[in-house]
Amino acid sequence: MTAMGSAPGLHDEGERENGNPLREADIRHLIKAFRESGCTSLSLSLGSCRLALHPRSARRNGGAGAEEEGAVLTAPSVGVFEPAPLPGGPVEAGTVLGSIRLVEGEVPVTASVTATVTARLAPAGAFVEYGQPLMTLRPEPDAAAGAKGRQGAVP
Amino acid sequence: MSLNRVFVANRGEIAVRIIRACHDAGLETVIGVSQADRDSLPARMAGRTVCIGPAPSAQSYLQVEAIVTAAVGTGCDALHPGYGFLAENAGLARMCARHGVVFVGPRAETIASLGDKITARAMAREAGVPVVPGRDRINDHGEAVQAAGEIGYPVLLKASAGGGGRGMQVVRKAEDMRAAFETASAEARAAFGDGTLYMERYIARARHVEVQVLGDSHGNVIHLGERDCTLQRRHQKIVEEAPATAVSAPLVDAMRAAAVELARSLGYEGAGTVEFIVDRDRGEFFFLEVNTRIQVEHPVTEMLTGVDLVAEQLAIAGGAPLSRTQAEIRLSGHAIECRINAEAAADGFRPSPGLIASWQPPSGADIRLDTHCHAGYAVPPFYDSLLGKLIVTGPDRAAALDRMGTALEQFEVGGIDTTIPFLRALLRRPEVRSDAVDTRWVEAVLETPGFRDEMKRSQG
Repeated sequence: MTAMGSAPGLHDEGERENGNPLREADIRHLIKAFRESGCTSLSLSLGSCRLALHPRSARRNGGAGAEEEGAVLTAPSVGVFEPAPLPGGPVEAGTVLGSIRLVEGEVPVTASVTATVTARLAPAGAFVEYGQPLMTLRPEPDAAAGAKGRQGAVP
Repeated sequence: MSLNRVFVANRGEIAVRIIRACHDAGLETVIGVSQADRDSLPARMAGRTVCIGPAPSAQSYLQVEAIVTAAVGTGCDALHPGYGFLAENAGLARMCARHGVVFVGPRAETIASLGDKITARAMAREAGVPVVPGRDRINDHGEAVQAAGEIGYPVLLKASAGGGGRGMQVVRKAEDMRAAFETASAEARAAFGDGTLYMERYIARARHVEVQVLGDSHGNVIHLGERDCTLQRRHQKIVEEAPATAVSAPLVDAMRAAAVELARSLGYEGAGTVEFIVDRDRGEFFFLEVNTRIQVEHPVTEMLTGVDLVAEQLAIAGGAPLSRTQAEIRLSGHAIECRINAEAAADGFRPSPGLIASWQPPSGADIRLDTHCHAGYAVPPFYDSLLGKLIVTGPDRAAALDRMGTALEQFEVGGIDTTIPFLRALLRRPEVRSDAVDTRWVEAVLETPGFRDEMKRSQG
């Protein structure tokens, strides 16, 4: 029965019923927080006012998106990094490049785009945080279409 | 077995509170944060900060395995869950145990059995604690009508797995039962993944009184008095105080004894709260539930007893006996706590996250503020809206109320809306002074025409 106990999440449903529209400052703040969060979507309705946020182009599955000069693949979970043997050449998006071992399971680390691994940033067996850089990738030309995903603006 | 390094599996003011208690006890701290909380005050205070996931709590603060992995990976030998999030998740307690991390809280089986409201009621009944007249498992609408006939209308349908008012329906006559049953069951299924309902007599004029207990692994159980949390809005507490001066002394004594008896019967280890509902009209009390965690309002009890409840939790988890016997617990004066939320009360309690431009809290010998906020802090939109808890003490209730009124007047926050103007207006009401309130009074007073104007005037 405590405030924090019952509804972790965006906000309690019950708080929205008076139909008060969002102020511009609220929307600005939501967009900023959404950008920083790494979420793939946010939808909010306050009375008659509805707000939906999505990145301009959704990221491919797994790790981080790619920038033009080279992408950083980040840890999809906290845990112990177990890299797979380095591939010789370019790998397709979705290729498993290692895993993060948790106390009872593991999460695969996959290439976010078709790319060549250019450097490994975390050693094998390292305890890594969520979002910690694991390796750098150089996107291959045919992956350019999806390469700007993460940096895309919010519509 | 003494602890060395504690993993803090929470955020906000309670994370600050736990880190302080750990450091005071000479324990190292590691906090697991979401990406949104990387630069928060508790993240800066902790010995080490580990990011466990993205901002949404479902992907960070509610990820059991990520949290235990972070605790093990940083060499922690204990984990404090705070309140909310996974604080009453038996699965977290069990996973901690499997990986050699001491869970700061009761045993997993105690959490699991008290977490199921029907089992908890049965345990209370076995310990001789009165429960609200009702029926434990209502399978269909027909059974509900029959049970209500025996109990007498109005009745309350509640979710077995529930809390926070979800899956709860008041039913005043048999004709309304079918719709109420279906709504409550669907809500319970949606909110808790379990549509099981039970029924209780509906108490129209109720006070919420809860008893703080502590138990250790050596079989000692004590109480640290009660807290009156009658001022609520939609089952969310707003103001908590102690002692419960509106309830007769014999009734308070009986509640304290019942709480200790129940905790003893369970072999309870850690800090816990036994919640009761007091029927103002009949002068009876009934068991509601046991919260197997530190509570938001624990400072009220600390101010009254001088006992540091979080320090006691850590000591109990480390295997130490309670620091005091029942005879050594002295309750002196009166303490009141107000929850300060980032909400625009005059605007339907609309959440108001954003940048805190200015933060000027009151200070003084009788004032305590538990918070993670400061000027320049951006309140993220992802979590609960609690900014902090303002606690004052006085020699008696009237003096404590006066001090709270002054402290609220002095508390200035700029940049975001807070519930401070609402609290100022609320505490000025004569019904609060005379303590003639029940658990539905706040919602009623919010409907009165003058109150909204008073809130607006209090904004200054």
